[in-house]
Formats: sequence, structure tokens, C-alpha cells
Amino acid sequence: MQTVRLAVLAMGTRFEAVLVGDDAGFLRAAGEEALGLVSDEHTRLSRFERDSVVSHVNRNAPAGWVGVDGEFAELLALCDEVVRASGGAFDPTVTAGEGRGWDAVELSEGRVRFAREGVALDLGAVAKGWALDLARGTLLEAGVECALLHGGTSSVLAVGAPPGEEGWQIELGGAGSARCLLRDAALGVSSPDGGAGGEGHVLDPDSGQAACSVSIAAVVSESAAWADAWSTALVVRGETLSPRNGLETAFLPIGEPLDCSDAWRGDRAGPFLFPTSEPVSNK
Amino acid sequence: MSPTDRRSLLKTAALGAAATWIQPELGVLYALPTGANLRVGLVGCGRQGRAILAELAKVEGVSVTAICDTDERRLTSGARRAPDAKGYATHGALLDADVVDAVVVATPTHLHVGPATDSLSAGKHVYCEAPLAHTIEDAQVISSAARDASVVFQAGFLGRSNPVYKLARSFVRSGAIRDVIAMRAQHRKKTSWKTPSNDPVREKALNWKTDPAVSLGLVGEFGAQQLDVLQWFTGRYPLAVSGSGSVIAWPDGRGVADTVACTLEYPGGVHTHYEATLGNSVGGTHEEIFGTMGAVRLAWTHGWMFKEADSATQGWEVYANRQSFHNDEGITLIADATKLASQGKLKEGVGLPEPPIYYGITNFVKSAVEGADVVTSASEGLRATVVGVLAAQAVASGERVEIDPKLFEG
Repeated sequence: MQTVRLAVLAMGTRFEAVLVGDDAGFLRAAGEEALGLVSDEHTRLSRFERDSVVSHVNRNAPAGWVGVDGEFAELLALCDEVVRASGGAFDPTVTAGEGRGWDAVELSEGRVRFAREGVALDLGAVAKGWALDLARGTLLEAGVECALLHGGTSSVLAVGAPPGEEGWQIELGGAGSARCLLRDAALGVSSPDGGAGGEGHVLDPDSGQAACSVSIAAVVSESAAWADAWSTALVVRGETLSPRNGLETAFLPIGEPLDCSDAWRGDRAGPFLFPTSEPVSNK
Repeated sequence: MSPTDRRSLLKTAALGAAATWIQPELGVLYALPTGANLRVGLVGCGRQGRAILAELAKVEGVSVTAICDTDERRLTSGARRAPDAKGYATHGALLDADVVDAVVVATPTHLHVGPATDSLSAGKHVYCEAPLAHTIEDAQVISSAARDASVVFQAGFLGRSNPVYKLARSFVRSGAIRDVIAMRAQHRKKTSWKTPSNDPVREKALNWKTDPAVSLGLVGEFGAQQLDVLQWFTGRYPLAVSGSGSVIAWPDGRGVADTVACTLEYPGGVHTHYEATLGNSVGGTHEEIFGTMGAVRLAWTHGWMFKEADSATQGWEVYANRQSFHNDEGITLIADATKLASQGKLKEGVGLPEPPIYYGITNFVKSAVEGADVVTSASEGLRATVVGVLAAQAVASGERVEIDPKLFEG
């Protein structure tokens, strides 16, 4: 059995892939193709790249309808779904002033426009997961049966399980803390400080202030994009979202040590899915 | 007028002085004239084909009505980017359906000739990816068919559509770096250049780039594009090329070199040194032209000009953006500098606002719909392909290959 490890820098972080199988050359080619898609999505989705699709939309959508390809439209539709289901807790825009921006984003038949100036797409909270979903698609298409991908450790995607194991063991919050056993599923993790000790990298769309609803939110789903988007929404408004949507997710109050409930230990059968909507599959 | 106002005015005026070189189309989203429509079909839904679909979606008035790939999975992948397009397994079936006005050929290089010539015969405008073909004979067939056709044919050599490159070329052509003494280009990217598949037949088809029977290797696939830039800038085509190549980074039994170097000899004693590798990424992909008074470095989305200390300084240079490269300082070439300066956003203008392929595709659409001059004709495509094919031959054989100038007359 061979193990191949690859990495690429994209979306302001490091993406890594670990692939396990019989043929190292095949695994390397598959990993390169998967991470190549991640790089492609970086160039499409970064609002800091002048020639990205996001920048193209941000430049032109305030003036009128802008055509986008079907895949990008699919991503915007996913965002729209989570924005609505989360009551606006997830809002992938930045605005010139305070408050929400997504209500100014109009989508119609592969086109997008902004109803007012001062709004810009910022897909940073969902792009890593979206890229991982696409990467998984190419791995499965090639016939890879065992792999783990992550982007900056906050977006994780598992294909199969390591030989002899039930799943990939993912530690949340460092050694000795909660663990998540991941198999054919994705994990999205968000925290108000980005896990780096900084402050306020997730903003409450309503107040414009740094979110502090929970210390960390983790979501397991079939789709990494879905998990990413919802983990952000949960950091913003965790306690209120949970009962309303029946989320099978644990919330850790600020200041308390990490602990895991059965619900998000992840060693129960099957991924945790949201009952309010079907996860978007990129297969 | 306050000193600040005066400086601001001078800055804008100085940049305006450079406006003769500025491309007016940059920063303005291209759209077809009101009521016009162009139905486009894509043949080949690999990575490049998918990138082209993303750019076509941006153009108001263009609709992708058909896509084609012999590989079902790639066709499905293309359909995700163009959900309204009908899918076809062969380009013949796509043409028979008669649902397109134009065809973009983005198949593997050795499979360009069929879709390109059949589309021209069917009266469709054709955009053909570069290089035109893997043999000079096939490239000549395509070029000849394009010459005989009454529709638009554009070869996908993208440097000629690139606003930053057009700006840099205008500087070089107007003598900003004075006499060209040498040129250099490189492509470096760490990758095995392999595509995975658990189906042996599909695996062989997908990995055409490492198949010596059909692949031009690095100097043909990437070098042809880059060398065309140098040829376009200087108006010179090589007299001879010598080269060598090795499999160093990926010794997996492949017959195509993963690391190559070659030297092209041009009239007037000028040489171009080209090197490419799949084993290292430093410096990426760029081209350089060195003159007695300066140099330009071009990296597809970015470009810089370096001045010798004894070269004349033009007014606008005082306010230009600059970037340091060890001991050298490059003036950033900004293609829409005048407009950005007037908005006080000059620094935001570093780099192209759209990917290079956007400009190639929109130039093609503009020629097909509005009758604009073709940016890269079949003849130019043939010349650039000849250089790529013969450079690949030199690398594969390790021998010096003299180039018959008649090959550039096609």
C-alpha cells in the first residue's frame, strides 16, 4: 500500500491531499488533478485576484446583469439557499457600510446583478469547501478510494477510510480535544477568531460586529461547501439557529473547554445532514 | 492650485501622454451589438475547454448551444459549465445538428485538424487552440482550409490578444528598449503532466501529452505560444533551432522529456533561449526581451519594463508603479493606466482584469459578428506552429534543425 502526499497554496492557505492506494504514480496524478482544480477555483473565486470571476462580477454587477458560467451560478444558488435557511446568518458579501449585502444580489438564469452600489461578493467562507467538493469529484471519477483533503485545516473532506480503520480521525481544537471520525463526508469548522488567536474574522451580517455566538462550530455534511457555509452561519448565530433548523451540531460556549457530544463525535453511522434541505452534491 | 492638485494634474497628464499606447477596450465589458447573437459550439471539454466556457458565459449575446467530447465524463463536466448546451459525442454530430454559428476547437493538439477543417467546410467560424497541430502537414491543412473559407478563423496564440502584451509590444516597437540583443522564455511548473484513470484505454487517451507519438512536448505545447510572442514583438522568425531534453523529474517510463532547453537563432545574430521543466515551479511562465536600453518581462497577466540607467526617462515613468526584483526595478505595465489614474486607482490596475483567454475569445467573437480584423490569422498560427514543431523535433533528436523560410509562407 502506498501513500502519496501533495500540497498547493491557494485561497490564502495551504491545501493538502493524502491519497492511499496501490499505485503511487496513479495516486500522484489523481492528487495533482484534484489540487489543480483547487488552484483553478482560487483563480475563479478569490476577490483579491483581479481576473477572477468574483472580481469580474463585483466590477460589473452594480451596473447590470452579468453572465456567469453554470458552475459559478450553481455556487451562487447554494449560497442563496444557505443565506435563506440561516436567516441571513451566512452572508457571502462585503458591504461599504454595515449590514447585509446578499439582499442586493439578484440571480436569474445564469446571470447576476447587484441592486445597489457598495456590495461585493466575498465567497471566502464557502470557496474552500466548494473547491474540495470539485476535487472529490475528480478523485472519485479517477477511481481513488481512499483520500483525505483539507484546506487550511478548517475544511476537510474524506474519501473512504484508511486501511483497517472506520474513518479518518480528525481532531478539533488540538490534541486531546474532540475528535471526529470522517468517512465519505466533509467537515467544516469555523470559529470567531479563525483558530489563530486573532479577533473577529467572522462578522455578524446584521451588526457588522465580530461574531461571538459560539467558540467553535463544526458541521459534518456530504458537501464540504455546505459544511463550510453552515459552520460560518453557526458561529454567527449558533444558539438560535440550532433549534429552528434541528441541526445535529454541538455548540461550545466561549471560555469553556472543548467537549464533544455524541452528536458531533462523528463515530455514529452516516454523516450529519440538515433536515431543512438536501446537501448539494458535486459528484 | 495647491501643490497637491498640481501634482495630481501632472500625474494624470503624464499618464495621459502614454495613452496612445492604451487599449480602449480594457475595463469595458465586451458585448455584442444590440440584437446580435452568436451561437457557439465547443469541441473538447478538458481543462482549457472548461476555461473557455467560463469566458464565453461573460459575453452578452453569445450563447453556448453545443458542446462535444468523445469522453463522456468530460462532456458531463463541460455541461456543468454550460447547462443550456446540448452535448454531442463527436464533432460530426455537433455539426450535423446545425445549431452553431461558430466552433471553438479545444481538443488535444493532434486532434485539432478534423474538427477545425470540418467546421470550416460547414461554414462555421473557427477558433482553434494553439498550436494548430502536432505536425507541419496538419497545420498546413488547417491553414489552407482557413484561407479558402469565407468565415473567420482565429488561431489561439493568446499573446497577440493580451492587452498587457499589446502595450509592451508598442513600447518595444517604438524603440523603448532600443536594439534587441537577446530573448529568453521559460515555463516551469512542478507537475507530473499525467491524468489519472482506472480505465487503460481512457488513461492512454487522456495522457497524450506524454505520448511521443502525438505530443510536441513542453516546447511545442507551451513554447510555441511563448515563442510566438517574441516573434510578434520583433517581427523575426528563427533560422535554426537546436535543443535537448531529458526525463529527470518523472522517470516513469515516459517518452517525452520533462525538462527541455533549446536555442533559436534569428536573423541579425539574436538568439532566444527557451527552457521548460515539470520539476520546478520557480519563476513560472514568462518571456523576456533584452535591448540595449532596457528589457521587458511578460508573465501573461502581468508585465514589466526595466530601463538601463542611461536610457531616456519619459514623464509618465515618474508616477508609474514599480516592483523590485532583487537589484532590478521593473515599471509595471498597466494596460488601462489612464482611466485608472483619473479614478485614483492606479495601483488597483496591476494585472489584467480578465484572464488572457477572455481577450482571445472576445477578439474572435468580435471578428465573427462585427467583421473586426482577425487578431491571429491562420497564417500566423501556421508560422508559430512550425516553430513549435521544429523546436520539438530539435529537443527530441538533440540535433540542430535548420528552418526553411518557405515554411513560413503558408
